[in-house]
Amino acid sequence: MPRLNPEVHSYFDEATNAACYIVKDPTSAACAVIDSIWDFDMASGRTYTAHADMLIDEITKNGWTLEWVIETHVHADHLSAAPYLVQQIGGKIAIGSNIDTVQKVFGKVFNAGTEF
Amino acid sequence: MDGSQFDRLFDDGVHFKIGNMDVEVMHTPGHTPACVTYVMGNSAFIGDTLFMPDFGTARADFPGGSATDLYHSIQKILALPDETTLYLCHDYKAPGRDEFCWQTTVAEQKASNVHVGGGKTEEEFVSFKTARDAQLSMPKLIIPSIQVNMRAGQLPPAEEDGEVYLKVPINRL
Repeated sequence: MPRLNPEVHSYFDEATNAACYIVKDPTSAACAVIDSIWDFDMASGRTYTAHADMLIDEITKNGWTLEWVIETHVHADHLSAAPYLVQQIGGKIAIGSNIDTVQKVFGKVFNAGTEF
Repeated sequence: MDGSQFDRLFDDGVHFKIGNMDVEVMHTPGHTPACVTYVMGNSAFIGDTLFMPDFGTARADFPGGSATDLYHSIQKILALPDETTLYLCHDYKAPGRDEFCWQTTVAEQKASNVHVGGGKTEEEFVSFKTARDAQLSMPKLIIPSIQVNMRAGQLPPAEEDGEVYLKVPINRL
């Protein structure tokens, strides 16, 4: 079977200069979100879900099924909305297996305790 | 430190499916040790590796980053078919370009990326990258982002008062 090309929907966030994507299987309702964004205001320490809610609207209004919420990496310039997306509409969260190296390095930087 | 906050961890070269669509995972470290590229059909989602050709490449100076690793990861991406569409993680515009762009191709990157196009050698790249990264300030949200994202997007556990706090390490970054 030839490899399938994804339907790609892009959502650029000017606040963080970050591109987030919904990729959809052209042969079914299945989709994945790549690099979701959880809005964060550093000055007030407040979180917002406007960007994630837009993705949820897009997925639900089109009748798509969220199978995966995947990260290209541990981002240093925006927060991930992966748990919020999964809590709202399901899906599994995944990342590269070298995450343990990142956790070791930054667990030390933030003295994150035995969890890291 | 085992990544157990995530539902699945992808090794280099594994395949998984979104519905019926195959996705290949390619490890592309350098910006961070855990960076990956997701290849599906004619498209690749390359995270922070290459940026638009007129902007260049991701920085490699965060703790755990490596300009040498980034060079080799970029070569893996440039080895994909020329017509592959590359979807970026960021854009910052560039001199002479006033619109955000986040989509390019392997052929465009090979021909004109200002950091690696035209067949720059590893030595040229690493030396340039190290000097350039030393001039960059830290991203505005690095401190909250890392603490949340290394936990798969979860906030740190609540403290004794039931509230959640983020830390600011002093003189560490």
